Amino acid sequence: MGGLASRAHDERIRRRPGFFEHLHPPTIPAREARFGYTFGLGGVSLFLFLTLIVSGALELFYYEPSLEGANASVQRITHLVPYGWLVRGIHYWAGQTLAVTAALHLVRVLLTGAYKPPRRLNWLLGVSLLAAVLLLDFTGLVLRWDNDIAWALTVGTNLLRTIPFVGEGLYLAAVGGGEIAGATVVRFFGWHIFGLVLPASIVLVWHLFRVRRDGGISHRLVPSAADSPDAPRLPRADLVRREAIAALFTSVALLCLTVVSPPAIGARADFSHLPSEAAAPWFFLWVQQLLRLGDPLLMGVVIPAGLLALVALVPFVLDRNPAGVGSWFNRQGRAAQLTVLACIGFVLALIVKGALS
Amino acid sequence: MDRIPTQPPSLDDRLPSALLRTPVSARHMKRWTSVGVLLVAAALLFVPAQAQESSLTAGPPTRRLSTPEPEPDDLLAEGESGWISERLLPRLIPENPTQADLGAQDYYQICMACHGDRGQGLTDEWREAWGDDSYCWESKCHAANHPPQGFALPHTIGPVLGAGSLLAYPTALDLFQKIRETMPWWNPGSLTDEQSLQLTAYLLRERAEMPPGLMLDTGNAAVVQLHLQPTPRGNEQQLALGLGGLLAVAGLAVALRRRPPH
Repeated sequence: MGGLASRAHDERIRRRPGFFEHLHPPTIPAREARFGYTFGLGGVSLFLFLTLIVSGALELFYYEPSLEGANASVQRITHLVPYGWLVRGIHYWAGQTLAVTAALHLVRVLLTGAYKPPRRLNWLLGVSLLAAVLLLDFTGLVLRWDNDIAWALTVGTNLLRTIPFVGEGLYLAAVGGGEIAGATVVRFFGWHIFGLVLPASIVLVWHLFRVRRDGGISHRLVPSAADSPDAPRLPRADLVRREAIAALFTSVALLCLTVVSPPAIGARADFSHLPSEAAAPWFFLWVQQLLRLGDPLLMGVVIPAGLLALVALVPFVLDRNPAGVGSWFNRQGRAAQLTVLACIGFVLALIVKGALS
Repeated sequence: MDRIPTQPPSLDDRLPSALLRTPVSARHMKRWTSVGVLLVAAALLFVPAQAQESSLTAGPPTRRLSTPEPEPDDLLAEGESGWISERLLPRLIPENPTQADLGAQDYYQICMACHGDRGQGLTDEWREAWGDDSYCWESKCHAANHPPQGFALPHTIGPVLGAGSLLAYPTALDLFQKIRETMPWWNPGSLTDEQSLQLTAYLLRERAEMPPGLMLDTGNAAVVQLHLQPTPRGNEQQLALGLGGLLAVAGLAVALRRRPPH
């Protein structure tokens, strides 16, 4: 009997969920776990963020945050360090891809009403994460310190100066002096590695915590035949398995992108001879296009900040109705959907226009 | 003034302005031009194969651990005015020249006379390839008491290729700056940044020290180290693709695996 009890005890221990399983709820609703509901965008974004942390940490072994060393060390990583080109390529493409998957994740959450109560705070956290990703992409790009970033850095930091009252202080915080110089490299390195990654990591963990605390993946609140307590649910082992598949194929995509289209690196930036054509990174091409239309403060600061605020305030202003969660294009959220989609369409049109011009 | 080994004697019509800055009288120039055209035509009839196989024009770089001795069959080509060394003939330029290919042309036109066709320096063997023009100092053209059109030339010009060469230059940037600021000997500082980078790229390629696929510029030259062979990249790309394939297979395996009963 004793042996039997011992075996039963061992079996119970063996069946306990492992570390990765414990990060997930015991079960999730099968309907909302369908690929067609989430497209795996949140999970892929999380995996890309973790990939960025690991590949960025590897790059830190060689990167030199100084005026003389910044560009040279990226050149060294790219051309001389064994597999340096691979690590840098994966870091670059994970950053670019994360901007896309995070934005698409936001659109999915918007269109399925997943921002509605009780997930309003998590919507805010998600929007702030998207903003952090864009800033991380920008500061990471600047760390190359080649001629391709000279215009973007000059225009981007000068935009800060146009902000009344606090502009000069923000410029000083970003640039580290009255003009772009050696201190700027150190500042951007600090912002990229610490000033943005650390808060983003904390908010990300908070975001994931809120998903669990707010009842797991968003799902319909009104019971129906498909949503009754007896509706099928998936065990977390299935969820972990799906995440593993997504992570593996995302890794394959990153490797292929790196081999087929490795990130560029040009000659060291020369701020005394800026290139004749201004060129923002693709995710800020829309701001560059706006700047061509008029006042820098209005076009480069007020309108982008206004768009971000509009998106952030969706569950507080545009759609306060808790009904419609878990339904694509739910009727209650039409105003919010149309408003945000119009904003995104506007931004995308400007990006395409900028890319084609 | 006709004994200066600073230019291939038979090819004046093909020589660039940089080389034509060397003191050659107009009378001699005219004569050498006509001779040169005929000589090149004759030489190309006899030696196209060897010319195309020149290490300066085609094929991957090979490491030169020591300066090779000239092969007996590359010494002479027949021209109208007699026999000259094939080693003085111009190098063919590929259709889509790389930075190093362009540097090879610059080297031939500007540097080769003093630094040798194989980067061996101004050795006796190399001077002998110039035939009657091999007496650099005895002719007074390059002695201390040279005429106004000439210039003094050091008696010792070391190798730029091969073991023990360029030891004073740890990086490509050091070599680039040396070339840019002090070369050519008779007109220092006259080379452009672009020419100097091309020459640096050519020397690095010939030394097998050029990282594959790198376009040398003043930004990355500091990180390219001389005297170290760069890591080959071909294997790394294959390994990266292999890893991608493995991950794809693993992903498919997980996706297609039969689900355990809940």
